Amino acid sequence: MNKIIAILLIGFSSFAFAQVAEVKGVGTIQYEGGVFSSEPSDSDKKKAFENAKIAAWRTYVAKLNPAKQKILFGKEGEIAGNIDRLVTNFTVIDQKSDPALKTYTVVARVGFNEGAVDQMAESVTVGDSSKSAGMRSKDSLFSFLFMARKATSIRQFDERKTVVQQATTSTSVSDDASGPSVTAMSKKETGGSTLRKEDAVTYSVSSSQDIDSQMGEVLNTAGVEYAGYDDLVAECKAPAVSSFKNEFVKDDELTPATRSKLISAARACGVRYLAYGTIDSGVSDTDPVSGARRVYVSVRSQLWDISQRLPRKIGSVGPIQFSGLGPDQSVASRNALQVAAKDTARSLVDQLNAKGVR
Amino acid sequence: MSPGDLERYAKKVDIQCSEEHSAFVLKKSGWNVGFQRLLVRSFFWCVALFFASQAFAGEKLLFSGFAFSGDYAHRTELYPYTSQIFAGNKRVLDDAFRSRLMARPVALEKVSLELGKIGSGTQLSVAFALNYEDVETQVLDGQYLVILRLYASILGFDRDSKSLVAAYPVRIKYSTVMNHPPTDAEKLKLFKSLYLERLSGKDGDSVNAFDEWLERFEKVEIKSKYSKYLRVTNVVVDEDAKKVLSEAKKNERAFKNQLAQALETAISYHNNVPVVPSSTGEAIGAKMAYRFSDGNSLDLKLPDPDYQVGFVVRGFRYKPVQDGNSKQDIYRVLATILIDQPDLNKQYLNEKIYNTNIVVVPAGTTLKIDNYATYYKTLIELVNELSRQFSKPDTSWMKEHVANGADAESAFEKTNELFKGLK
Repeated sequence: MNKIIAILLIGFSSFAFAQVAEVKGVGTIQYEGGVFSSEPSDSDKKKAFENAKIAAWRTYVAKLNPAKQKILFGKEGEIAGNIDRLVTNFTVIDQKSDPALKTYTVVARVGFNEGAVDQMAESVTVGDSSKSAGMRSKDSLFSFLFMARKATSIRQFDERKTVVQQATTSTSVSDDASGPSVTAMSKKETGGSTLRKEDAVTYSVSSSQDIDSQMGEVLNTAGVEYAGYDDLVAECKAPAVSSFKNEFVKDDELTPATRSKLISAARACGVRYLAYGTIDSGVSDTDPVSGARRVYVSVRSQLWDISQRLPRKIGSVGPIQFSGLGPDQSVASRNALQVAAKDTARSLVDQLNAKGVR
Repeated sequence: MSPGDLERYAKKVDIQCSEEHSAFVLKKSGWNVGFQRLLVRSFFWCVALFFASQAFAGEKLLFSGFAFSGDYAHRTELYPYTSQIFAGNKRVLDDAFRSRLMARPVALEKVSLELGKIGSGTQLSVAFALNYEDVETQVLDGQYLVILRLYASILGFDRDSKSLVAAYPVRIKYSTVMNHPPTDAEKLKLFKSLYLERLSGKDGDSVNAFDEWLERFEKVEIKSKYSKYLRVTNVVVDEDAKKVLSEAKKNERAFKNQLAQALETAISYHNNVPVVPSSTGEAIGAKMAYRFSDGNSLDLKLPDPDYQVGFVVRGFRYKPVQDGNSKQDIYRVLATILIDQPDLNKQYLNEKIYNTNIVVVPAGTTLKIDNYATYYKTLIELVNELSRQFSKPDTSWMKEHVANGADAESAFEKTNELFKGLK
């Protein structure tokens, strides 16, 4: 396995100038010291450098999505031995030696080739794409359906306040040695409640073309072969989006009957993994930081293995919110959708890879 | 590319390569297979870096005009006068900046004004980023000294990765004397002239904000990548010093902000190093918003600082001394400078410092000294002289301004080594 990873990593090092993520790492070692020297030797320093790279790697991986974290942490032993192949640059920032405790610590900035890391994550789970992609896809065809809706209006309700007031008056008469007297007392109690009503939002279905193309780009880059939903409609009699868009606009989910039809049609055409989800775009507002128009989109998705009679849910994404900025609502919305679709597709790919699927 | 450029870039690559593999020092005995492999790998990296540097050398910085730093929502509060000028005509600052640039061939040579360049090739860009604006009025013998201050940055950033590459602070100061307190309209007019014209000051010199920026820009080099970053992360005013601010009715937050700007400007200017900008009075975060006058906005990722600078104003002292025909007013500022590497918890400097100003008032005069203004001047002198020590430690200065005297020399020498690595 080590050899395979080493070969794969050598291949990835050719992407040296692809997107690089720079992370700082701190490496410490305890050293023996020599008879005539209390300083760490060069090999001691080299060990500290390697530790700094591993520390930076862990920090880098911790920022990735959970599916990819699981893959990469699971293979940390093998990766650590060949980490130099993922490192595009390594710069020592500073170092500190403590002769009393015989410790040497170094802090370094380490650049990781993100493209190589992605490909390595895929390769350690599903193997080398150049050799057997077709074979794997044969029994694990993937398809997806994403529906987008956008808020066309939001009606916000003011708080409704109810104030309840109760007043009581009592009078008492007493008669003692100083003579009869009358005491009057009045008491007022105030209470009430505030009712907040949730916003009434109206939606309309928007085109999912942008989402499809962004998701397709990520899936293609990752080597995931997929069947488009339009082909499922044409070839496998899957329900057309127009037939269920109203139920989606109203309830933000598919009815059990529609979902069942969709799954049956996909299964009949040999689809094993099916992802479906929704992307909601909100109404634009002004971003306080940039002053540009801002649109939030919310993404929710589920990944199902539909090979058996009872589909099994093998992954999910979100709900996650993304924001997009632009000079007007249309640009801001498109920017947000692009980011959302790419991120969602990346998460789905990682979850498929974790199942050994390409 | 000239032979000189080639030599410079080869040297730069050589430095980077030797730095990156500084641990793998050649041993006279013990050539082994691992080392040879490493040597081969290092060679390939060096060749790759050399070609990358060459590719960059042919590219100019994309000119990105004028930008406000900080949140859009706080713009009118942070820059009350500049935002009014901008609101009146959104092109006026960019146009003035551009016309000043066109008149300076050295600066013009370093930038590309082609709009088509944005989105293709290198995306290393440069902008005039406004960080701070301030106007102060001091009363002197019935006259009104009006001081305008602008703190800006030569902001080098990568449009592609939306990250800050380098920032060189620039301080623009203009002062004039009026015989009445300046009205808001007069202050606005002064700021407008500072951007759009050359303003003649009380000392006969003339100032223009964009010319000041361009003059510094001509002298600095914005590289595509820096290996280490420094940032002013903490400015503290001790309780003792707060009393003086309170008596002078000065806002503590504004004072700290102004001092942080002055400190980072002095550090950058005297040592020719970039600094990561401190946030304009807000919590220091990992991103900073910049809104350009062409309407674009960027949330730039700031580099994680490798070294942090802290400055504590411990107190202000005043002592009048009567001496025959004159009176001496002695003003002293006490402070502490701290520089450390946070990941290693390694301290470079932690020294108590001070500066003294003596104002001689001839007997019989009615000159009234503004205590706060004198303290502030003494403090800024200290900040400037201290910053010079980071590149050129001077024991005679230490003896007069550092509590540890010449004993602080080794700490300043260590700091000097640190600063060499920041360039």
